[in-house]
Amino acid sequence: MDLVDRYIQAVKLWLPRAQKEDIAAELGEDIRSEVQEREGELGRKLQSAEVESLLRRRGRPIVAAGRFRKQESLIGPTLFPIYATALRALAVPFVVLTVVRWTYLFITSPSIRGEAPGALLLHAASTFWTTAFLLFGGVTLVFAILDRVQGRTGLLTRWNPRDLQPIREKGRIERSSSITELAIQAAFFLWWIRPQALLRLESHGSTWSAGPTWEHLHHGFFFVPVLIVSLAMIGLSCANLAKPYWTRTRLAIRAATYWATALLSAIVVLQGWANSRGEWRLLRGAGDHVSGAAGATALTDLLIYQCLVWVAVGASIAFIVDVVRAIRFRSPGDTELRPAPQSTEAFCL
Amino acid sequence: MFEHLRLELRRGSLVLAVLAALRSEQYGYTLRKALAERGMEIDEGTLYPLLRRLESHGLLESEWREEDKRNKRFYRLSTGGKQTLKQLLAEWRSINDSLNGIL
Repeated sequence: MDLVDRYIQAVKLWLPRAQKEDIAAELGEDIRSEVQEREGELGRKLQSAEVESLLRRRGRPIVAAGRFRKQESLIGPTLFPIYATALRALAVPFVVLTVVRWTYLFITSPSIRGEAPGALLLHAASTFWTTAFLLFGGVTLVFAILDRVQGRTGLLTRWNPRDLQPIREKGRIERSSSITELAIQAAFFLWWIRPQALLRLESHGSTWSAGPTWEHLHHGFFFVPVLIVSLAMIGLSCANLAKPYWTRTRLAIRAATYWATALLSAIVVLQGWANSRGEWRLLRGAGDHVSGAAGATALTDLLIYQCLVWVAVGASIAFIVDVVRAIRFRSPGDTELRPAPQSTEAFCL
Repeated sequence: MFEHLRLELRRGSLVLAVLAALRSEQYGYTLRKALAERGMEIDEGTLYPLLRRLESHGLLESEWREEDKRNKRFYRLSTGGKQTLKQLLAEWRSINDSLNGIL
């Protein structure tokens, strides 16, 4: 009976505290009754292997004890799907942003580039996992709290059917988004063909105007390509306004504009970095002798440079998304007539 | 799939079976044996938590007693348990009649 006693001792560890002794005594008695009955049938004492088999059938101690506990969960079944969706929505951007950040740091920071590969990897990995645990731990904590207060606050019980989203037609383009896109693209187009009007600022006796890199860009190779991309986007917005449903062609055109944007941004960034040795002068303060002007120029340069990096990354991601959408695209009327299921045919016959 | 549905069907009948079997006083092991002999096999991991749940709802009463030099916990129906059993039996018969009509 030593094995039985050890089993009951192990089960007791996991039992609810208030009923531990009671349940353990009852379970122990049940096992001993079963052993006694088997011994009566066999006419002998049970061997060790037979007792083991009997205990194995009853399950691991923690499993046996779990049946006496209330069902508990950190995040209940109602909120769990939302929690899982939130984690999934965060996971990919988090990984992408981490990779982009470390690539950017590697390119721009001599101290990072100077680290040995192993140390750099360790540094990146420890930062990644620390941030990941904090992020996902934070989300889990928020949902665990929500799960506990939702009953009291009526978070999930008070709702109005009138607040439900209108029916979303697949592939429909909202007119408001087309109008917004058209307005932004038109404004950019007008600015691009006459940038001097907006790229000259005067403040406290100083004048900020476009620097040599900017002038080189605008008057050089990039003027026409950017103009073409802008016109294409304007044309696309007008087409979307007139016919507010996506087609494979228009998705492909949009993907192409994203590709062009990513390419142009990347070329600009790389050219500026290579030519300026880390200093990118888009703006030039007219009075460089004025204290703080050089620092302000450097800061503006850095901000513009970082914006261009993010534009390149964002446009690349948008390009990939649109390519996938274009490949998978099915127009609303494009459904195959499937043969009736067998059971229906049999019923009709 | 059938096995899963079969278990669900049987699980729904367990409470009634246990309450009915406890019209006469029994302890856990003999209760299990009695149910098994009548075709309602139930493992101890299901029976004992069920007995505690029914007791916590006031449908059963229990006490520890010594029998054959061993302490055993005996269960029997409480007054509330007898009343509930009567109601459940009526409900069971009604369900049976409905099902017979459908089948």
